[in-house]
Amino acid sequence: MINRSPPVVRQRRPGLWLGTFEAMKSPCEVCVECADENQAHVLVEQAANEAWRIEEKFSRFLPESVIGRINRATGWQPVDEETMALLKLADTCWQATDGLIDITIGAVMCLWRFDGQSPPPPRHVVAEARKSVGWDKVELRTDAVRLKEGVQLDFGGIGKEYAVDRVGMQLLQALPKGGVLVNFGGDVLAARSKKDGQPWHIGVETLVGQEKQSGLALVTGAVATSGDTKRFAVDGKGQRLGHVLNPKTGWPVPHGPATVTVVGGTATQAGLLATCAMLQGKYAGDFLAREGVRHYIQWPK
Amino acid sequence: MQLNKKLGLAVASLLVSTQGHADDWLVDSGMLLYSETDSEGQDRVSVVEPVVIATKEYDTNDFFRYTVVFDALTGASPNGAPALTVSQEFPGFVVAAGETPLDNGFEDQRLAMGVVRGKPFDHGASRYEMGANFSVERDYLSLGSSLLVAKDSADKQTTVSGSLGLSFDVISPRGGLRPEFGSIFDTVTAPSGRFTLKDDDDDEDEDGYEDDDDFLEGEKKLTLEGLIGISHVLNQYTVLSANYGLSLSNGYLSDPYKVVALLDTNGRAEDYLWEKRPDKRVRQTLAGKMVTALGEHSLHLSYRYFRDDWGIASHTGDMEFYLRAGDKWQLRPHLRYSRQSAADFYVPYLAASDDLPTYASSDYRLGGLTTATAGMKIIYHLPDDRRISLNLEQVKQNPDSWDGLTLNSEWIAEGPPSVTFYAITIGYRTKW
Repeated sequence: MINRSPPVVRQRRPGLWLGTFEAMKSPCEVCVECADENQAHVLVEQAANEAWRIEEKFSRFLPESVIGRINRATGWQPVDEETMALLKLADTCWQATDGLIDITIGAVMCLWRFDGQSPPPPRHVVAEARKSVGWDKVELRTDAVRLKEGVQLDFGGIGKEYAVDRVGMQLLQALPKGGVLVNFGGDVLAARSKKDGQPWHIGVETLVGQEKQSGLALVTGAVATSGDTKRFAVDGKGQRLGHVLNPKTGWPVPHGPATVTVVGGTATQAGLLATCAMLQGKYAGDFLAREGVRHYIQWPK
Repeated sequence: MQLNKKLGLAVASLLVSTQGHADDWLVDSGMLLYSETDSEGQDRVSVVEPVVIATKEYDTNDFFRYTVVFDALTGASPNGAPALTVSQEFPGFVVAAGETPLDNGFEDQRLAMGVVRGKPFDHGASRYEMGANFSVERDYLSLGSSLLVAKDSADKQTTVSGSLGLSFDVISPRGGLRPEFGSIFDTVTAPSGRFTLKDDDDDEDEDGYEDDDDFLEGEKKLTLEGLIGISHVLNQYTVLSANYGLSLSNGYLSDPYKVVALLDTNGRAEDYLWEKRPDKRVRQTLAGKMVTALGEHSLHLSYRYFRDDWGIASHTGDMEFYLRAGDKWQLRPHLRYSRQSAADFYVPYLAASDDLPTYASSDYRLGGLTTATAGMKIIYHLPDDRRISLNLEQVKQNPDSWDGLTLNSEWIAEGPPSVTFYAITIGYRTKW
């Protein structure tokens, strides 16, 4: 179990409540429009519980999580419906992106330190770990999964966005009328527009020293960002290496964007597309233009 | 654009599937109306059959399915004796020359119920289905059970399955048990045309039927069936499947209401004997099926070969198109053709001058028979996964003529008449 601080609820303006809490190592926010303060508290608590539930269930860092159990096991592991649905999504993504999105990246991911100063791991170490990467080393049945030896699943690339969508859907059900916005560390779902029809304003994080962007206006829809302005490694020449790894090499794609922000229908979908774009390197913009989605790219200085 | 679309669909299905589905009942209800006319213009059997199938599905292959069928049959069916060039006298009624004798006043109700439990095991790579069923009529009781086990290959492209079924039937004919090859003149005839054994008339009710006090007292039949099958996904368009079935029946396999005419040297009926079939039957089937996707439509082709140790062999070809017309409509035109050869003991009549054979039956369903079916199913989809359907089917059964089957075919006015029947099924599927 993780020690959690209870969520904090504040009134932003009459009838608009902002709840904040921590989950998945990110600051999380939910905005709900309702008259009653008690109801706002109940809704925020429900949102926090759902986010924490997903974190505890799918974090690869928690040995008691479903993913921790699957990663340790040998042979077939029975899995519940929700896990299976996520594994099926991972399967579809892997096929649709020709292997660019691969949740078995875990074995390589843990070699990197993206703290803004650490060097990349030695090449031969990455190459060795790469042997345990590959969705084709995972077998799925209708209610069970089996990993080849050494393979580690990591829902890090999907989990947070999935949590945003789930929390958004739950709040919609719990609150029949009124605006709902979910923002987990920059992955955002505007699940329902505000009562006055005005769009939600979503800030986009910027690189230090770069011109500040005005942010995004969104009536409904989702925004997800891949890449991080603070999380990167530095190679021998002082070059930034972003924290999105190419599963086929185990290395970040060179000359790629610092961050990619994509607008979509759900946070999960936008997040997956943003990750794909990061892996296109300098062609990220062309790629997103071809997919016909609203997007914002920040390039490193 | 392509990728975004695919991801969108995949995420939508993720979010829907993890929302948790309500434990709905899927209820299929239907009403079958069936009527049959022969080529002599005589109305035959008509059936009204309401059916309800309720399925509670917890997960893929994890379900309970309950089936209830009620049949009301009325009408007439040939009693087996051929149409002769002279009139025929049965106990209680006379059939004119050139007409096929029918067993009139045929009326029955049947109630059938079944339950199937399906469950996956071996982490979903295998599944089993266990079933039990019974059906009851005034003169018939059937109890059955079945077990099916299926297993998918690791890549899920191939499924092998095996099933076993056991059924136990009790036949207690109205009017008493008929001694096989006994004369029907040893019976009395109810006003309906039904026969009753003469020495068994002490507990008849008003309409000449015997009370069904001792229901399990009757002729018995035991059937054991096994089936092995394989289905294989050939590519993204085509699925092939094949199966082999073996069924062993033991016990009373005759039809208690069918007779065989015993003709004298002048072609007149001297007597009518209750038919007699062997008390064992071994049936084998070999079937293949192919389903091919043609864009949003699909074509279902199948072929089935059947043979038994009574000498019957049949070939059946079946073709069905599944056509989609917009989001709401589905059309399924359907054609089937079947050709069957006659059982070894199938005879139009027996000659009184000859010794009785070991077995004999004149039931046209055991004779050479060509059956052609044309049908069309129309399905209209309503909101919330509900749908209504209408299935129209015309079936034409053409028994082979008796030319060449018999030495004195000139006595027989004509072979068994061909039969045309129509079946209309109205169906409604909903969730509860």
